[in-house]
Amino acid sequence: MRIKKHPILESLERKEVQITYNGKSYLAFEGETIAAALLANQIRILRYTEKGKAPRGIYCGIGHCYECRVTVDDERSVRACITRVKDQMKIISQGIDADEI
Amino acid sequence: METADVVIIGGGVIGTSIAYRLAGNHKVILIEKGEIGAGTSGSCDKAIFLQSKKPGFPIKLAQASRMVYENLEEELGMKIEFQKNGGMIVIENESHLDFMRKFVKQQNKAGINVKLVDQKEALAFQPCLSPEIVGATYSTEDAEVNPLLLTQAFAEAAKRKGIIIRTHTAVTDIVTKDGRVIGVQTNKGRIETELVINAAGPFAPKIAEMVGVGLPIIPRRGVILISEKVKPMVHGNILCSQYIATKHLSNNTDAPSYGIGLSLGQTESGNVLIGGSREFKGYDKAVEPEVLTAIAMHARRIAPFLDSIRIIRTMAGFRPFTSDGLPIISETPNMKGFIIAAGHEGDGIALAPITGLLVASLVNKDLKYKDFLDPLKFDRFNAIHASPKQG
Amino acid sequence: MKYDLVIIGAGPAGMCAAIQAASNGARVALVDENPVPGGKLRGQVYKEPKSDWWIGEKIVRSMESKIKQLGVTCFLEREVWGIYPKWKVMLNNGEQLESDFVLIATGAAEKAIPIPGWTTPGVMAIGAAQVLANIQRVKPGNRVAIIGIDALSLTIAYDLKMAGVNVVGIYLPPLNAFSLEKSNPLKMIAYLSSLSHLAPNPMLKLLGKLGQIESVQKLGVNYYPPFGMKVWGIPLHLRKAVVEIIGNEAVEEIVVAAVDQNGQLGRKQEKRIPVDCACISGGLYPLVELANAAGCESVYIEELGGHIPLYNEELETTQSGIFVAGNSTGIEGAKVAMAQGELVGTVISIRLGFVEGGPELIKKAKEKVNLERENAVIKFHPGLENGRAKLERLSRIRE
Repeated sequence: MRIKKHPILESLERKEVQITYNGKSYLAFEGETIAAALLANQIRILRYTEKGKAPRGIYCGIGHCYECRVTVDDERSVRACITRVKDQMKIISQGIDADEI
Repeated sequence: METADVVIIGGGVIGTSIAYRLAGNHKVILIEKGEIGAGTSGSCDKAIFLQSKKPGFPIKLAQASRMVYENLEEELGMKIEFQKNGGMIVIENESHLDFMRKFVKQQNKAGINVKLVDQKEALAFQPCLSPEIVGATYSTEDAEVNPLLLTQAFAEAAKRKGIIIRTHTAVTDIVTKDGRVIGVQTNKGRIETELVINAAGPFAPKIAEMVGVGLPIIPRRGVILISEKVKPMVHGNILCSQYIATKHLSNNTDAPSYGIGLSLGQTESGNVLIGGSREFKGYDKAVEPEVLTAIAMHARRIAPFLDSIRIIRTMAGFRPFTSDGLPIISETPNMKGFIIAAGHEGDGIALAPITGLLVASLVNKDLKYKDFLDPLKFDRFNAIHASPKQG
Repeated sequence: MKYDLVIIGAGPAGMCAAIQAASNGARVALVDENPVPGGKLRGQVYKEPKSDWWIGEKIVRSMESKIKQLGVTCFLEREVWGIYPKWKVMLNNGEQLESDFVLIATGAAEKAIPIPGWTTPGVMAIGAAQVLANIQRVKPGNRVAIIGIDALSLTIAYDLKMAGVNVVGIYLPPLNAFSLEKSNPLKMIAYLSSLSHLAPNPMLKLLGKLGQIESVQKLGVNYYPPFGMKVWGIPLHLRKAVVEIIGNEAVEEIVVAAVDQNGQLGRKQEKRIPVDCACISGGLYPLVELANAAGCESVYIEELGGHIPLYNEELETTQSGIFVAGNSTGIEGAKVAMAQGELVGTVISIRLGFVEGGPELIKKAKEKVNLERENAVIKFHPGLENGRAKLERLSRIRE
């Protein structure tokens, strides 16, 4: 899914980092958002709705719609579309764990 | 010119409940300056508390209203999210314990099924509470309803029975002649009528002024915080003993700033409603940030899970306060054809069903609810009434 | 903390205002909820009509270094939850920024057009696809359908194409309470004809011409080829609407149906097309919640995107000291936003007493805004001039 060579835009030089999503380990690039890193790893589901447990993914891409809420290092409701990955970041889909708030 | 048997002013939960009860027998027009249920009824919590009411007449009135709720959803033919999930009053500190013990005794005597539980029992039933609390009172008779749906349901049911509802229409004057009402002037035309019902909630005094009557109703501003959706965390509704103290003790000296007392509940969709403040600020809706912070800080002490969830918005509304905590449901001395149905303060949702029936009884001049109506009369206040307008 | 100017939103308007005010000597705080400044400008890539490529990322980088040089204090990854008199800007981590002057430059968001299945992962607002492709450098999908035909969606279709994404087609949304005119082929033809001839990519240019062809307008869209028309290799369907999006855990297919020239569904059979991403374009609207919360009067002007704060020629709202710039003033391009930011930065510098020669400087800054407006390559609403005239009238009445 990554765009390695763009006809107009310069290629980005970015460091590789490791993140975990729902317990599994993935590679990501420093500076990219959680949503982008997961999509690059073929992951579209970011959370499940509170009531019907229906899957949700990235929607507005600018932090406005709050559809992409994930739990990051125990902080709830972090927007995956505007939050950058960090090395060793622990990300969990909101609504996946029955015991979370 | 347009005519009506009755003009109801105010499309909140009170006005629509009245409209529903009058429908079918009268030509009724309901006038609302904004949207249905968008004022006080759209900025309140969802609790129907019985155990928190004052013993005596206030409890009897609340019980009668609560009875109407039992079949209301079926009757109105629309979902109103009425649930009998019980209610709890959390006792925050030892100093409230004595007072609350007496309170429970009183309520039991009045026929309310409420019991005092210790910290352990309270937490077992309501795990979201802080272990720091002293105890709680619990009643299975407390219930809840979605006030937005309730108001819509009353309005829709009334419309089905032929009531005309005019939103975005403001009353500019009430026309009187020889001490009686003869018409209502709105920004969209005049309606001839001999009966006006003032159900304008906190704005009822402004409407009453139009017929030269001074109403002892004062707007009291209440603020509620609303959280993001979370999984079910709060069972039924929660108040704190501070709320009861503020409400029932006239010489409550350790009253908190901004009149803060907890009211906590969770909607069917998962949002937590966190109340609230009680302030006399006229009709000013600009809430200072300190009030919001104080509500949040007080609530998180009682329910620590709130620390980790997001507040997505806040709402401010005016509750129509009266000095004795009861509404005015009454004809007006010296002004024929002007019925007042306002002043419910924080009990509008709890008392809306009975208010509709009481006003219908007044309009129909039957004596079905005489015992309820007598204590709600306007002249119980020795207020100075302005002399009725000549016209 | 006290500042001479607090700017909310570090997009093109906010950044330009910060640079302008700070270079005049003002102590400026710049707040944004994103981890980096730039806003939507960072994702813009298009060919300028008479010169080189406009690359948002590069422009943002140069502004960023200027901001650093000038000592603007950046509060990134902060949300503003309220503005209180006179004026305190409240941040979500408890910080409180005080200033006599606040600029609200919060930009715009996209209007939604609900379509059955639109909450399935893989369905996104068209702007999100641009963010992914141009900023994050990740394809929003391998086979992407675009629903909604407007300047933004056509621009981003082109962006996706450049990024090597297979755009399977651009379709109309189904007729519903949210899509309205956007589902009407006749109205869309008229709309396409209003797109500026200076359109920044060959696709927009071609469509602009197509719309101007009289016969196409007159005959309606009856002769529009049922298989669509390829523009820059992307099939553009003016007679087909996406009526449903299918998929459980992720988008698998779109359901496409033919519509008549008014957007009504025909009796012909529906067709399923496999995709892994569907982008909905419902148009932009200004984000003005903070202005409302601060008590600024607002007006509704359809041509500017909907509700906007009422503001005067110097971009000050009805609350003294609170200014707006960029898309919060109405939906226009980044260059207009930047010029507006400069104007606000100038006005506030003068009020603070940092610069002399006020009227002349303001006049120049205003002229620049108008010049950028005239030269704009994309017009988001055909009635933009009308909308601006309405606003100016309302503003004069208020004063």
